[in-house]
Amino acid sequence: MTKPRILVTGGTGFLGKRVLPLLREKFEVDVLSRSGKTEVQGDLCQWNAGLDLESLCSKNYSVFLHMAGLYDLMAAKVDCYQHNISAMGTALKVAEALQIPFFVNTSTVAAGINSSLGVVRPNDLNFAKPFPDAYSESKAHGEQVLHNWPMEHTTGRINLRLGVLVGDTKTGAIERIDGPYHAAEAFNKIRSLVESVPTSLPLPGSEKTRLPLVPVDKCAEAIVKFCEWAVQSKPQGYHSFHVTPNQGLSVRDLYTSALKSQAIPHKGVVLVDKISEALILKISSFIARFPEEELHYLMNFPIYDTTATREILGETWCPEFFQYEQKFWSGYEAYVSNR
Amino acid sequence: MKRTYRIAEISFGRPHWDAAYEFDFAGDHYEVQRFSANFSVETVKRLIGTLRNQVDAFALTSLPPVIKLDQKSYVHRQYLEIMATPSPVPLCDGTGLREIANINSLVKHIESGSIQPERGTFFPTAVLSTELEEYIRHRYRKSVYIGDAYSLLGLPWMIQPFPGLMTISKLALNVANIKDLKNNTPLAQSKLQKISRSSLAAQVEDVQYVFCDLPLLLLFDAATDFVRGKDLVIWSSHPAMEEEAKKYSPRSIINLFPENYRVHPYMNYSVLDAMLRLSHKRTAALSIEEWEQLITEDVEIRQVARKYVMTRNSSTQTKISQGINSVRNKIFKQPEPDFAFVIHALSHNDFMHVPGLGVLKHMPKEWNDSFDRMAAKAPPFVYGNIKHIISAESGKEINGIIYALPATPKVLKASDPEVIYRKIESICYDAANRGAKMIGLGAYTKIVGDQGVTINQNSPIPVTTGNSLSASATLWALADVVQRMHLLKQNPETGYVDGMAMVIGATGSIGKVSAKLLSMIFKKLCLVAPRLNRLEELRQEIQAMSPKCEVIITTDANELAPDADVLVTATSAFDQKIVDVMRLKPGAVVCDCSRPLDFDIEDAKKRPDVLIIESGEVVLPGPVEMNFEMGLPGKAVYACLAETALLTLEGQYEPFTMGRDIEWNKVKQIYRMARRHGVQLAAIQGHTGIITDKEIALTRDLALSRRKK
Repeated sequence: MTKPRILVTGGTGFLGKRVLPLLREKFEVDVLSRSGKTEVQGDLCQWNAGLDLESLCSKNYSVFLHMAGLYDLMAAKVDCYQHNISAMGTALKVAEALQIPFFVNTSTVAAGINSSLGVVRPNDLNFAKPFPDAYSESKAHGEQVLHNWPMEHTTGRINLRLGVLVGDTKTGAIERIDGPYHAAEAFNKIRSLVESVPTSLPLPGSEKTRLPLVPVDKCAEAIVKFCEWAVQSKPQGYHSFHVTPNQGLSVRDLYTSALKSQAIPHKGVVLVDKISEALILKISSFIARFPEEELHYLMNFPIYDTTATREILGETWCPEFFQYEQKFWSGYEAYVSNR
Repeated sequence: MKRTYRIAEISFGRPHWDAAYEFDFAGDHYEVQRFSANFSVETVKRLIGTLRNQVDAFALTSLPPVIKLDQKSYVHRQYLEIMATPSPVPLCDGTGLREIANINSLVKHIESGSIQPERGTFFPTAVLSTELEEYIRHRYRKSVYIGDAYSLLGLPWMIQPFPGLMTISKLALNVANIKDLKNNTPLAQSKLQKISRSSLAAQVEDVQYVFCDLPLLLLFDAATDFVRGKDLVIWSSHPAMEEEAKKYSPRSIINLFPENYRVHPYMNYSVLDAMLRLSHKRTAALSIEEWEQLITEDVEIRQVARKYVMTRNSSTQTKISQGINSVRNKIFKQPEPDFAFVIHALSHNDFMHVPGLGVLKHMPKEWNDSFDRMAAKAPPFVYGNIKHIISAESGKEINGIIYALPATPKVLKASDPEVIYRKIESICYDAANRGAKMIGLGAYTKIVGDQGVTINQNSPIPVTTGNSLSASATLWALADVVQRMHLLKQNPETGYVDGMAMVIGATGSIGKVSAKLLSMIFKKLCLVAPRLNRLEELRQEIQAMSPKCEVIITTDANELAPDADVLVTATSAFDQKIVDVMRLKPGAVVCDCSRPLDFDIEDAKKRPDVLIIESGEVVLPGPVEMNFEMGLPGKAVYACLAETALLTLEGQYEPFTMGRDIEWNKVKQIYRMARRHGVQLAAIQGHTGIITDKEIALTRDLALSRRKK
C-alpha cells in the first residue's frame, strides 16, 4: 500500500526536526521551506507562498501539516503578525488550492491564556481582554483565521495547542533558554542571595498553576499520531486539542527541582501571588533578570482540558515531569556548558 | 486576452474574517487574498512592503477614518501614515466611491419603501458614515439617533442632532484623530460600560434601523443588544461576517453595496475601487464623474451624492497630523542611503536655482565666468535624496544620496584633476560613512583625468562611471525612435538595415560601444574622430567583430554627414561645431550624447526634418521620490545614476564601468539587469522638450517631401 502524501511547513525548526523522521515512516513527506534544501521551495510570506500551485496539485496531498511560525514571546508585533497570522492565511489558501482534505496546525497553549473559564477548552479564545504579548495574541488570531477561513476542499481542520516544549526524554537537549529553564538561570544569577536567605525563599507563583511542559520528542510523536488520525478517521469541521500533560508541573515543584539541580541549598519555598502581579514581575526581572513575559505565564497558566487529546493519544502518551527530570536538567547543563 | 490580476486586500481591523477568493469581471480574472493588520500600522506597511512586487493593487479596508464634516475632511493620523507607504502599485481605499454608491442605494431603498427613515435610524458611529447620516438628518431630522459617544468613549448617551453638535464633533475629531486606534475599543469591559450598554439598548427600542457596517459591528463583540429585532443596514458583503452578525438577531439585513458590482459574495468598496482601476488600466482612482456613470444613471441622485464626495479642504487637524508625520519621518525614519551619486552644475544658470542666488540674473554677463570659478572653490555638499527605488523583480527597496560639486564643466575642464579627485574622494568617504555601498559619477566628474580610475583607487566604496548603462540607454532610445520613424528598411535575408550610421567621437568610450552595436545592425558604418591611427585600430576591431559591415573612417564629419541615416555624437568639444546641421540628410536621426551638447536649439530649429534626441534617460522602478532638481522632466534620471542604483539593487558592489573603455559585455549585462529590475526608457527628449509621436510623424512627413525634391 502506498503511503499517503503530506506537505509540511516548519520542518526545519526545533520541533520540525524531530517530527520529520517519525513522519517519514508513515507518510511520503514533502517539506516546504525557503532554505533551498527541501522538496518544495516556497515562502509563506509571499503571494501563494511563491509556489506553482498548478504543478503541485497533481501530488495529491492528503494532509497539510502547518508547523511554521514564530515561537518567541519577545518577538516584535509586526513579525508575530506576519508569521503567525498572515502566513496562516496563505497556508490555508495553498491547502485549499491544492485540494488537501486535512489541515493540521500547531498552535500554542498561550493562545488560550486569556480564557475566563476554570478549565480551558481547546477551542476557547477570548479577544475581549488584552493579551499579555504579541506572540500569544498572534497565535490566538491565527487560530481564529484557521477556524473561519472559507474552504470547500479542505474539510477537516485540526488545531493542536502544544504545551511548553522542553528537551526530549532521552537527552534533554535544547537549543535555547526559554520557559522553565529561566528558573535555573535566575537562581544561578542570585545564588549567593538565595543561599543567604535564612527563612523559606519567597518566589513568584501560585499554588493553583500547573505548567503544561511537554518533551519535544513526545510532542513530535503526538503530532504524527494526529496526522495519522486525520487520514484514518477523516474528521470533518474544526477540531482543537491541547497537547499537554494530564497533570502538569506545579510551580513549587519546578522551583524545588531547579534549586536541587543547581545544588543551591535553601530552606523551603513560599509562593507569593497576593501582591500585585506587575510589581512581582518588575522585582523578579530586576533582581534575577527573569523575563517578565515568561514569568507572566508561570503565574497565570490555567488548567487545560485534555479529555479529547487522551481519547486519541491514550492516557499515558505524555510523561509527567518527574519521569524525565534528570534528563531535563542534564540537557540544560549541556547547553549551558557549550554556551 | 484574459488577464489575471492579483489584489491584496489589507484590512486594518481584526484578522478573523480573512479569506481568499477569485472572480471574473469584464473579461479579466481577479485573485484576491485578504490579510489583516489587527490595528497595527507597522504590519500594514510590512504587508505592503512584502507583497508590492507580487500584486497589481492593494485594497485597504477598515482603515482609520477619513471623516467629512462641514466642507472639511478630518483625516486620521494613522490613515495618512498608511497611505504614505511607498508602493509601485495603487493603494485603493474606495473613499468617494463609497459615498456615491451608498447614497445611490439609500435613495433607491427609500423610494421603494424598503427603508423608511421616519421610523427611526440609529448610527452607532455616525462619523464613519457621515454621508448617510447627513442625508437622513437633512430630510428626517427627528428620526436620527447617534451613538458615537457610547461606541467611542463608552458614555451611555445617545445623541439626537442639536444645534451645537457639529461644533462639538469637530472639536472631538481634532483630538480623536490624533490618537492611535487600538484593538480593544472601550466597548464591553468595565462594569460602567456594561450598564451603559443595556441603557443604550433601552434607548434605541423605538428605532427601526441600525446603520453600521459589518467590520465595525463585529468589533462590539457581545455588546450588540442594540441590533436585536432591528433592520441592520450594511455596505459590504462578507458571508462569514454576515453569519456572525445574524447571531445578534437583527430582524433583517439590508446591504447598500450596489448589486451589479457584487460579482462575488465577498465584495467591498476598496476591492471594487481596485478592480475598477485595474479594469480601466489606471493607477490613479477613477474620477468622480466616471464613478457616477458606473454607479448611477439618475442625474438627481448624482447631484445629491456629489455634495458628499467633492474635494473638501483639509481640516487643521489633518494639516497638523501631516506635519507630525513628516517631521517624525525626517527625524526617526531617514533611511540610510544605499548608494551615492555625484553631480555638478551643468551651466552657470544652475546656480540661479539655488535659493538666495536668484539675484545672479541681474549680474553683468561678463562676470559669469569669474563667478563660476569662485563658486567652484566651495566644498561639495549633499544636494538631495532619491528614495523608494523598488526592484520589479525582487521587491528590494533602495535609497540614494546625491552630492553636488558647485562647478560648471568649463571650470572642471580648466582645473587641475588632482584637486577634483580630492573633492570627489572626500564625497566618497562621506557617503561610505553614511552607509552607502556604491558611488556613481555623474556628467563631467567621470571625464576628469583618468575617468574614475584614481578616484576608485582612493575610495572606500566601489566607484562606477555609469557609462555602460548610458551607452545602452542611448542606443535603446535611438532604436526606439528609428523604429517609430519608419524610414529605414531591414533586409530580411541578412538582417542588416539598409543605411549608413555615423558615430562622431567614435574612439571615445560611449562612441566605441555605439559603433560596435551599430555595426551589428547597419550595412554601412562611418567612424569619425580626430586621430586617424586610433580610428584605424577601431576599424580593425569592428571589422573582426562584424565582417559584413562596411566600415569607413574619416576625421571630418561634414564630409559624409549627408549620407548618414543615423548619427551618434559623443564628443567633449567645447565651443566648436563638429558637424554642420545643414549638411544632414532629411529624416536623419541624431542622438546627441555629448556634454556639452553638440547641437543647440538653433540647430534643431533650422532643420525640422531632422530628429535630434538627447541621450536616453531612464525611469527607475518604484514610486521614486526625488527632493532635488536634476533638470530632467518627471521622474526621469540620468542613465549613469540608474546604473549605480541597479548595481546596488543587484548587490553587485564593484567598479563596474571604469576608465576610457566601456566593455561590450558589460553594456549587455547592465541592459539585461535594467530590464529585469523594471527600468524603463523615459520619454525621449529633444532640445525643445519631450518628443511626442506627433512630432515624429511631422518630421517624417517633412523629410519625405524634402527627399522627393
